[in-house]
Amino acid sequence: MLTKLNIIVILLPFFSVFISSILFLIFQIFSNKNYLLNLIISFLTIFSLILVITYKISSSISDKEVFYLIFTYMCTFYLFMCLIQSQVSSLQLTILRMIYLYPGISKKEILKKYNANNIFNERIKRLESGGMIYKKNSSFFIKNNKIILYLNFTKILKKIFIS
Amino acid sequence: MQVILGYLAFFLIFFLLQIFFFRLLRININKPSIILFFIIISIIIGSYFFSIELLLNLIIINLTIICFYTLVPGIINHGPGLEIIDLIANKKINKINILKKYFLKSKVSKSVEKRLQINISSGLIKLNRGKFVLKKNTINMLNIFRIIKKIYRIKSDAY
Repeated sequence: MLTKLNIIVILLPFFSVFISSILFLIFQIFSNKNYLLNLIISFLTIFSLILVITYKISSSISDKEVFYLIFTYMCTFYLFMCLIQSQVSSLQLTILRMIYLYPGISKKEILKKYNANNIFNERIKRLESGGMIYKKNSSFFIKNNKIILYLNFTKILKKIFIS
Repeated sequence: MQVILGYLAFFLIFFLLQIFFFRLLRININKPSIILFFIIISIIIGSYFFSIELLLNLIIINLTIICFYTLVPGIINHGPGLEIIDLIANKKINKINILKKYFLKSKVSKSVEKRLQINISSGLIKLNRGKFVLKKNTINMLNIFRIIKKIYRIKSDAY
């Protein structure tokens, strides 16, 4: 039989992500900062709140439940982040939107409207506005070294999967 | 600690299973049908052996599988943004003109064609006499995404 506390523990991470999404929406409306930064801030705010709640009720819940609270919140927020990120930069979704706008479009027309040239310009613009790279005398340099860590991590995973 | 180790063992086994299927058998087990299968099995098990511990385990396992589903395509299909970072950081190509030249020569320059192929193979669009048409489910999905985009005031790179 599930107790009231069990139900709270099960639903808390999902409810927390819902609160984070509302917080993200508030940041998006009232803050001029980049959407990614808004996402990170909303994640960290609610995550610290979860840690406080977990600490407060830690005597009444098991280690497994503590792990569940933290892990489930992180996973669910990751999925929410993917949903938001896909709206910004997903190529697959961009192509679908293009076909939605121009039903019956051919491959040639798609490539005319959206090609590697456009993608390069968009990505450079976004990387620059996101503070990942900076421009100096018509050259680009890395501004945020964390992105190199992420790049190397994905490269290792790709090597494990494909090479 | 024991709890964390137990879950780590599960992630490792699941990760190795993915690699085994993908590298040796060329099968991508990250498919919506497989995820749905796992969820249905979990619901059956969860409702049969009604216990809080099992319920938590099943939610964690299913969430891990769904997260893998979103993570793996990003690893296999290297994105254009990461390609630019790779060219700047590792290959030390900084000049914008040379950077663009290398980018257009790379595999990523074919990403539009590749994504079109993925859209066809995953049944999101159909090719009718050289013209692309969306399926009804895809239109519904795009409408939901449009609402999300509008609510959260997200600006996409294009379209």
